[in-house]
Amino acid sequence: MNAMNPSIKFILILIVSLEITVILDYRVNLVVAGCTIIYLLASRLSWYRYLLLIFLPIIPMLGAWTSFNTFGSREMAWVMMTRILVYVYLGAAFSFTTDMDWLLDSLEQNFHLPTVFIYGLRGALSFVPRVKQEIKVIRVAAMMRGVKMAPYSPQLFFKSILISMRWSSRLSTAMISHGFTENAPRTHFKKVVIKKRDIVIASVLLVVMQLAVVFL
Amino acid sequence: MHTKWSLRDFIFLALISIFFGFIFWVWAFAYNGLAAVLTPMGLSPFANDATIGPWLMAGPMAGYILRRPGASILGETLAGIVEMVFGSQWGIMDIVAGAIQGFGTEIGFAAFGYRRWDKTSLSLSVVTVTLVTFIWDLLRNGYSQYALGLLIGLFITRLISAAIFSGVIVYFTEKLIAKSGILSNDKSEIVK
Repeated sequence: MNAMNPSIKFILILIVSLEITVILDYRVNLVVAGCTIIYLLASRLSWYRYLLLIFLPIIPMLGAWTSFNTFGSREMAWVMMTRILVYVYLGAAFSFTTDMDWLLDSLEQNFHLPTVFIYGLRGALSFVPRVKQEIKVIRVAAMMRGVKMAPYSPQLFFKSILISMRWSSRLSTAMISHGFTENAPRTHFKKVVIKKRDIVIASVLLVVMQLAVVFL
Repeated sequence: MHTKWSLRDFIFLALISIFFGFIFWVWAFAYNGLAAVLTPMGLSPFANDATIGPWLMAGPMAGYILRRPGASILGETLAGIVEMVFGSQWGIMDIVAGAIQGFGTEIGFAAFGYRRWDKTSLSLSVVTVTLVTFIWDLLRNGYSQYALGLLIGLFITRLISAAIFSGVIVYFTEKLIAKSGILSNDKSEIVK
C-alpha cells in the first residue's frame, strides 16, 4: 500500500483526537472508530496486534461504563465508553502503522523542526536497549550491598540522571565530532515529500467527521 | 535569559525521559490492575488519579534540576513521545497529555520568575500541575459529568499522588544531586 506521509497522518489523528475530546455524541465516536477499524484491517497487522486491540480497551471501557452509571448518567456512560475505543484505535492507527524514523525525517524536511530536536531524539532513542540493561545493573549493584532499590527510590533516579548526563555528553560529542552542526542546513539522501493525495485524503476524512458531527 | 537548547541538553532530557519511562513501566500494570479491582464499584477513575504521580515526574524533575524556562514542558513532552514510541494504549494522546502536564508544572516555577528553587516553588508546581491536569480530565475523561462528592475525592487523591512523586521524590533526588556537586546550580554545567 502506498502509505500516507507520516506527518500528515500525525496531524490528522491529532486533530480528530482533540475534537473527540469535546464531542459528547457516541454516534460520532462510533463513526470515527468504524473508519479507524477499516484502516487497521486494511493495514494487515499481525494477529497478535489485532488480539491486543480487542483486549486492550476492555478494562478502561468497563471502568468508564460502571463509574458513569454510578456517578454520572447513562448517556455519558455511552459517550465515554465509545470515546476510549476511539482513542485506543486512533493511537494504534498511528503507532502500529508508522515508522518512527520516517516520521522524524518528514518532520525535519516538511515541517522544518530544529535538527537538534530530530537528531537528538533519534540518538537518545537508540539508547533504549541500554537503558533497560542499565536499570537492571543499578538495582543489582544495590542488591550486592544488601540494599533493595524500590522503583520509587530517589537513589535510583539520581543514578539514572547521572548516567543520562554522562551518555548525553558522550553522544553529543560523538555527533559533533562526526560533523553534526546544531541547526545548520543539511542535505538529505532520503527525500520525504507530501503528496497531494495525502492532503486530499486527510481533508476528506476531516470533512466526513464534521458531517457526522453536524448531521448525527 | 538562556533559552536555546543545545544538542547535549536535549539528549540529556530525552535520556531522562527514557529512564523514567522504563522505571515506571510497572505503573501501567498498576493502573490496569487497580482499575480492574475498582470497576465493579464504579470507582475506576480513582485508579487514574492515584497512579498519575509517576507519569507527571519527568517534568518537575527536569525543571527542578536544570532550573531554566521550558525545561518542564520539554521534559514532559519528550516523556510523552517516548511513551508513545514504547507502545502505550493511548498513542498520540500521550504527547498531548505530556505537553499539558509539563505546562502545569511550568506554571508553578514560572510564578516565581524561575528565581526561586526550593520547597515553596516545588509545592506550587505540584498544585498547578494537579489543577491543570484535573481541568484537562474534566474534558478528556468526562469528569465534568461526575457528582461533586466524587470529584472532590478524585482531586484529593490526585493531589496526594502528585505530591509524593512530583514533590517529595523530586525534592530528595535533587538533594542527592546537589550533595554530589555534579551540577552547580547557578550556572549549571549542562546549560552551557
